[in-house]
Amino acid sequence: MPVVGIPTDLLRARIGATVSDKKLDELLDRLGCDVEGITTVVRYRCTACGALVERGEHEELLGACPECLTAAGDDRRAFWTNLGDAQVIRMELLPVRPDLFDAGGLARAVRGLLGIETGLPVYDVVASGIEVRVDPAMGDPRSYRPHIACGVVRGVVLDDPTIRLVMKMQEDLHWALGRDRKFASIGVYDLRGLKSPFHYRPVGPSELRFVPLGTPDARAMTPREILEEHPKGKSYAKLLEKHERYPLLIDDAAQVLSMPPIINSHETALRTESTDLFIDVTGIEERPVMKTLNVVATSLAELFPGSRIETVRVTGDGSSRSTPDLSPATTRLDPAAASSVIGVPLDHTTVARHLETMRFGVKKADDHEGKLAVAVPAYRNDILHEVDLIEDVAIAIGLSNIPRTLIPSFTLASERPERVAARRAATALLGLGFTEVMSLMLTNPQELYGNTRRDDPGDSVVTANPASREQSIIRTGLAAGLLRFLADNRGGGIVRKLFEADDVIRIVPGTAEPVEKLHVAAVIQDRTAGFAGIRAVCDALAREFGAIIECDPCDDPLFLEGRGGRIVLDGRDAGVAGEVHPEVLENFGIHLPVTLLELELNQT
Amino acid sequence: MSRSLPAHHCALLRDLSGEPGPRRIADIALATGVDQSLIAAAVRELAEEGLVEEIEKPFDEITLLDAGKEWIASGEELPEFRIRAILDEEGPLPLPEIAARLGSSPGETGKVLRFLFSRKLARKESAGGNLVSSGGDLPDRSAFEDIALLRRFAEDPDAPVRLTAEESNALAGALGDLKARGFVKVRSRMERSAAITPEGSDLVAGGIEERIERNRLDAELLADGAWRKVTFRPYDVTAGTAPAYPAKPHPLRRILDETRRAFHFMGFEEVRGHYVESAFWDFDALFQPQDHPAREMQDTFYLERPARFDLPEQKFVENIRAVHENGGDTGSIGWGYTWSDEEARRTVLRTHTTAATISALREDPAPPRKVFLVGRVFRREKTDYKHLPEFHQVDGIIVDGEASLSTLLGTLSRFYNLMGFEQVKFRPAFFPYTEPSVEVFVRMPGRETDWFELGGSGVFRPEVTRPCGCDVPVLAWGLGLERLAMVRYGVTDMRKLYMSDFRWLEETELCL
Repeated sequence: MPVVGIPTDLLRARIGATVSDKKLDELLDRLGCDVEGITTVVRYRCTACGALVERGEHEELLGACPECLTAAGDDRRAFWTNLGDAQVIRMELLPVRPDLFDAGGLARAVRGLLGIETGLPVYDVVASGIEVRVDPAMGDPRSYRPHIACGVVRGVVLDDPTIRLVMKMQEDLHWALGRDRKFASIGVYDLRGLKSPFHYRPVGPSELRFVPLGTPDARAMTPREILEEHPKGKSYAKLLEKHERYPLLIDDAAQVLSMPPIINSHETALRTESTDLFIDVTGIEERPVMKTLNVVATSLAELFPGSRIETVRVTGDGSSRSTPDLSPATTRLDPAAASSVIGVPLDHTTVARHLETMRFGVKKADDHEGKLAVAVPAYRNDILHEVDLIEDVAIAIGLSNIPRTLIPSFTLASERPERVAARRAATALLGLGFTEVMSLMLTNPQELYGNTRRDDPGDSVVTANPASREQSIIRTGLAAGLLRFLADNRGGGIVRKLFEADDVIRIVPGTAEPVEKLHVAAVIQDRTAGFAGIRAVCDALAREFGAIIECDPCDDPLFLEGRGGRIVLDGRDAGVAGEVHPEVLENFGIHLPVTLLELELNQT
Repeated sequence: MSRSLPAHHCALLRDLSGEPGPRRIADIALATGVDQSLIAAAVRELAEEGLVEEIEKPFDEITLLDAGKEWIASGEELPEFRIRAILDEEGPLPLPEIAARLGSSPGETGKVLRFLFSRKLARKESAGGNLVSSGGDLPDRSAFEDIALLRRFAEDPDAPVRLTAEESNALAGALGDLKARGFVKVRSRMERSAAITPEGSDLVAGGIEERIERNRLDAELLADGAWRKVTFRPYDVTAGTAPAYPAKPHPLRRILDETRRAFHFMGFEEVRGHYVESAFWDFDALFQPQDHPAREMQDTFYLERPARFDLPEQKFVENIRAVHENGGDTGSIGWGYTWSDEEARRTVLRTHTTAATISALREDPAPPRKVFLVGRVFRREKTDYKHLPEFHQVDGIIVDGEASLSTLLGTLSRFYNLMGFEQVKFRPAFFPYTEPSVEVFVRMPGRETDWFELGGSGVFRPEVTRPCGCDVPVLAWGLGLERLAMVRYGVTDMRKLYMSDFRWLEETELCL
């Protein structure tokens, strides 16, 4: 999970109360945030493109700017302008709560927990008078990115660190809600000088030029050039690889705002003197687009006290709507259900109070059965069902305040027969002095077949996307794993007796049906290891299962010719035993004679 | 019947029984040819049985030092006698003059004066300080005790001279002089002798025979009773030995078995699952949306063989489709996307054992049920010290009208208590298929600063339980066991659990 650093001074200011570091840690933990700790960061500005980066107090300066990729050169101190340091609380992002990614949203939640401000946060929203016209071609497969939602936040006060926070918030939301800009991508602009209506329309690869953000030389580029040359363009070009024309947001005076989901224009970028912000969210799914806008708009409003959210009219193809739509969704909650799921008696009033603590709006439902009518803030993306509200009630109570009890009903324990069989085999082999080893089920054809001189019968489970060449298929037997263990433990003692009892998987020939089988395999490595010794172990194992086995000659290439046997139980093949072929020992790099058995454990 | 004794005991008794009085140990050793230390040990051992008597007599052992040996070897007179001779010949002389005659320094010569005076060989003139002979005949040299003592070394200067305590007392002055001149060294010692007692004599008269000594007992010695005549040489039992280790179950297996035992203690029914599952069972049945990041190729092993599985019965599949798309009849709004059967048919290596518990729930949703399994799961990870592409989980569900968050916390606390962790903590968490969701942390005794996150849990969402035909709350958890093993065994590299060092397998203590 990505980690975010929330400036503690800012967070305390927005909470509006003195909260100790320890208390802060405890409150965030209670919300489910994984707090790593409080540290000091230093802020630097890139002298090439002006981007801000934060580095840990003791971290080295970066060799290149992550935004414009300009190399910092030999004198990094000269390249990076030091803007001073700040204390931050570092925590992992909670993907399901994007409204807690920034100081504004976190403060809103903490104020609830502390009882400073509870219930539904209310944002007075007015119309901005700005219109965005959506070209129907945005729904065309050749230029597909049909959804857009916009908003305005007026009256903000920016400085370099807060601009950096706004950028960081976008980056984190791209990760959590936007699926790396695929479903939703965000742009925030200086509204000053832009002329309504704005146009959201496709643009040809070389139709126009604009100056993208994050170039050291402020060069105007065509969309194609951006995708081929600009660092951000190259990173996200895959999102537009099937496009013939690219999404473009442009004002009525032909000032480009951005080329979603790639890059904003340089001219409309946020500056410390900006006071009014325009926000757009574009994407291929409607819900993430709307939700993301709600989160961005409300978090900005929380971050800048005194600012105001305004709506934008999004029109196209005969439709028209105002965004953001911050009206809360209303859902019902039965306090009895909360009591039962949490396992703590809770009355109406208590449940209502806990919900308000978690910033829900609550009133008694006017219909029936004494349910509560709960208003869900528009920035919450995770309330699908009554149970989601119940979880918030549990968080408000605090997990440490919920008694730990046990279910009173009587149930009988039972054990799986294959576990009993495995234990029986293990007890017998441990008694014979064999030490248990465990190995991974994932292996590869060379190890499983090549090294053991066996042919691949094509009955193994094969992964489509192995993480490494060594781990591409699932073992169909245990022999190779034991031989690998012997090879890995060449030093030390000479006499080794090892076994493994665990599952293998084979696909039934001619079907797609994988069958899991419990196998047991054992090896004896000794100067004088011979067939009789390992055969005796087979007999001993069979005897402990009340079975009598026979051993027929076999031509398993794992064994020396004439020194390997097929173990037959009730006329059925049950495994093999023998002296491992010297070529196999060479393949694994084992320098001593080894005998081996592998049996299928029938669970009857 | 004769008695068998160790050979050196026999030798001692036989030697003493021929002599009426005490015999010195050294003499016995010499006479019997047995090492003196063995005779001494035999004396002590037989004295304890009252067969011999040990007699200790103190004595002084006088050893001639180098200065004394040189003097004897030179055959010279002691200097005080040479001074007397000079004085007799030349009359009174001053000390430096005498020193010159002796070829010595006045200082060295001065040291001799006390012997000159004590033997009354000369005296100092009252006026002038010259030395003058006492005159008269010289007494026989042997009349001087110290010289008489020195002469006892004449035959063999290396052989010490023994003096009894009384002799030593009588010669205290002479010994003092000789020590002062650096001629001899005196050590107080004890003379050990032994004499046979009447019991000892009776024993010898009754017959004794030598016992045989052996290093180990063997079958022949047992067969004819010959062990009775055999002494087994004692070993140094305090010395260390080469380490021995029992053959053991694998340390991780022990954790897996302890885990199973803990759930058996709590009345859980064990089920088994399948390593190869359809995405339907691994994800869709658990309300994990088809675009969820965990389902992506980079986190989950999808399969080339077998590549597709059939879906379960139509009605169940339709219920699952409905909860994903619009919540179906569960009261949920769903995820709001178009659910694809094709995506659900894809095969995966199970990413959690919850796939098994959910199908157990579908097979029998009637409460009360407690179900668990311990099994391997797979995540598409590169192998390093804290990641493996496969690991074990314990997955469990409780299907019960009284199941609640409170009983979930209680059950999980009890489980970790049974595994040896007294301190268990919970934190809210977020999983697509449980609500409320909780992460579990434990703390190791003695490592009070570290909380280890060991797994996720929660109450199954209605979107999960309703399609299975279940209307009561279902508690569920999936807890990692490799991490638990690492905390318990203090292992910092997860690979050690599978790509093991034999020594580690040998040395890790048993815990079950």
